[in-house]
Amino acid sequence: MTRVMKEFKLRVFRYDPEKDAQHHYQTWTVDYREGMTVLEALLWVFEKKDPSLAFRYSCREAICGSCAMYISGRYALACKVQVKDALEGDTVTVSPLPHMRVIKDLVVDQTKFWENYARVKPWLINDDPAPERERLQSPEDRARYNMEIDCILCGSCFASCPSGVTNEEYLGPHALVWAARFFRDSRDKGDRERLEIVANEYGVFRCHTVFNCVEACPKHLNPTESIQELKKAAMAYKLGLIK
Amino acid sequence: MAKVDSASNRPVRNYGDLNPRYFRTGMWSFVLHRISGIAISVFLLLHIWEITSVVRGGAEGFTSQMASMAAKLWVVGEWLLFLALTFHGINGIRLILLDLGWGVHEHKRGFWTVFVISAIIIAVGSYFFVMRFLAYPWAR
Ligand code: SF4
Ligand code: FES
Repeated sequence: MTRVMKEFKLRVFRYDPEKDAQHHYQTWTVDYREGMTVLEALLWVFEKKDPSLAFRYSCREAICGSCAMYISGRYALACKVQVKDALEGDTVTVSPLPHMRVIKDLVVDQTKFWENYARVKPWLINDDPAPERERLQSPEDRARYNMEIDCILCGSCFASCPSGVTNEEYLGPHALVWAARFFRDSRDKGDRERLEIVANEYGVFRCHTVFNCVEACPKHLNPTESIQELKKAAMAYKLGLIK
Repeated sequence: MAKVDSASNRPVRNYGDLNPRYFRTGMWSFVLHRISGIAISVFLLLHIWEITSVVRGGAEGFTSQMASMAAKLWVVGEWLLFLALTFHGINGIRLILLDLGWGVHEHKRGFWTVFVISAIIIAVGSYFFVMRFLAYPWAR
């Protein structure tokens, strides 16, 4: 039954701030090759048709988080998703991450994303004098944040969250994932500090458990799990149950 | 600060994800929860208007207000309110359970449970609305 696909249509969001007032979509017919990723298709266009096409990528192996885009109705890493899995009919539609301001074509302004990330202090807080070699941790304690450390900060969850769309001051799933990552770390002493940051209307309480972040995350994290844990701690903290 | 070239001055964004075709279960329940919530608030205003007829016209005013509302149009309105209340209430329980830490890993199952329970209650309840609808005239 499998018809061998020779080519397909690549429909891409175009916007050039120097020429266009609004965006439009441009479609190319791209030569298909077995196993082709969407990133490869974009590079094909870039090399053969239009070198002005702007998009971000770096590692090409789903670990740097640069190439997150909105591909045929899904948040995805262009380097990870294959063309055959992103077809709608014979077309793959590639748009920039939703709601973030477009700088050019598929490149969005990530300023808020990174600012919000920095707000939760995503580093180990511990002023105790460091031991001679390293701060040790048992394998069980280490396993408590197994999920969170898989985050590659691609921005998919941030773009997908309706709470963030309506208010960019909302920290966003990615920042809360990182807050939880250190909150769960037995070596970290910054619980109180971070609860101050997340226990308010721009933090965990703005999460309406829509689960868009869970659907969006290309690394299969469950940011809502992290947020709900912080939410419970935040409640306890606000009620004075956590010192 | 050279803000001139900053992207905040370029209102171009991709709103593609607002196409209901691409909504996942969580987005559906989020949207339905807001719509039903607004509908219930509108009902509350109507309800206040309806019961304050006693202030405007005394016992008689209230009686005639009630009588005028025994009409098909209002039955449809009540039925819509019933849909909104059923979904909003049951989904609300799901949201509370989520905030208590339950079901974060089975969010799809949670959605479908709410959906099925609501559908059953709505199906049963709708029978009574149909009966009322048939019994009333279009207007008085
Ligand atoms: S949680 Fe997932 S979607 Fe969000 S930034 Fe990290 S890897 Fe990307
Ligand atoms: S290019 Fe690095 S994640 Fe896709």
